[in-house]
Amino acid sequence: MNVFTAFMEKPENVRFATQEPGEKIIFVLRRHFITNFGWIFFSILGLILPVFYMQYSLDNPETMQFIPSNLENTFIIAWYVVDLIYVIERFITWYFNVYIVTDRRVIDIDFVPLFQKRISEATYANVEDTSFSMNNLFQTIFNYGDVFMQTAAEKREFDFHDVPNPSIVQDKISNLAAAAGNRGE
Amino acid sequence: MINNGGITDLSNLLDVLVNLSLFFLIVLYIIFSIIVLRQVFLMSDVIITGVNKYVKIFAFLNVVFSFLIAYFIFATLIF
Repeated sequence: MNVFTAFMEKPENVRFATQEPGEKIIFVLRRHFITNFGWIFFSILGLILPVFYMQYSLDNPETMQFIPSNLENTFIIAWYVVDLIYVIERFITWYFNVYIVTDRRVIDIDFVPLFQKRISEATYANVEDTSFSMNNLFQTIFNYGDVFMQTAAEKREFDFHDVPNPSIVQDKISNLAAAAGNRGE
Repeated sequence: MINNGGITDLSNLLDVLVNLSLFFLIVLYIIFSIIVLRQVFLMSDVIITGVNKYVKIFAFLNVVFSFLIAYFIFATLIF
């Protein structure tokens, strides 16, 4: 397990705040790491754009001379600071948005930077129907997708978005819900 | 009509505005870093994994880095 792991099956050394005694974690899931491709691409673009600007500025000093050098330096520093803030914000959003499947319930931890977090859960007795979908080329190639659960709880829809191996996750949740139904929970 | 004194005044005003905007950006960055550090520690108690320590170290280094940037920029602005 490393910081970038998005699919953990029966992980060791993982616990969560509301875990009950004897409750076993089956899956800890995040969005597939490939879903971070967009912001990683733009932040790398953000890193190299000022280099192109400086190169252009050196090649064409007469064109760029109307911009004071201190303004130029300030703008470049500000650009890199904003880029760094963007990277940190996107990374911790991805890292702390976690879905947990235990032997008793499913838990959705939503983290919205910088001030909001929401934890929703549903027991298997409340899960009525499960399904999964893979909707585009990226999801098919990298084997990730959405898992949907219809519940009888207050929160009607329980969705895991862009999780790796959605068929395995859906199958396991379905089995656990069926077992809970057979026990009459 | 702008005389030379007017241009110098405008240039000084631009300098002050640029420095002020940089000052506020750095202050915002420091505040952001501290909020991120707090959030990382709070969320690490919600979902406890073996690798949270690396994210905590990263968030802490980010705060240190923000203060270092502030120090170097203010030193440049003042001197």
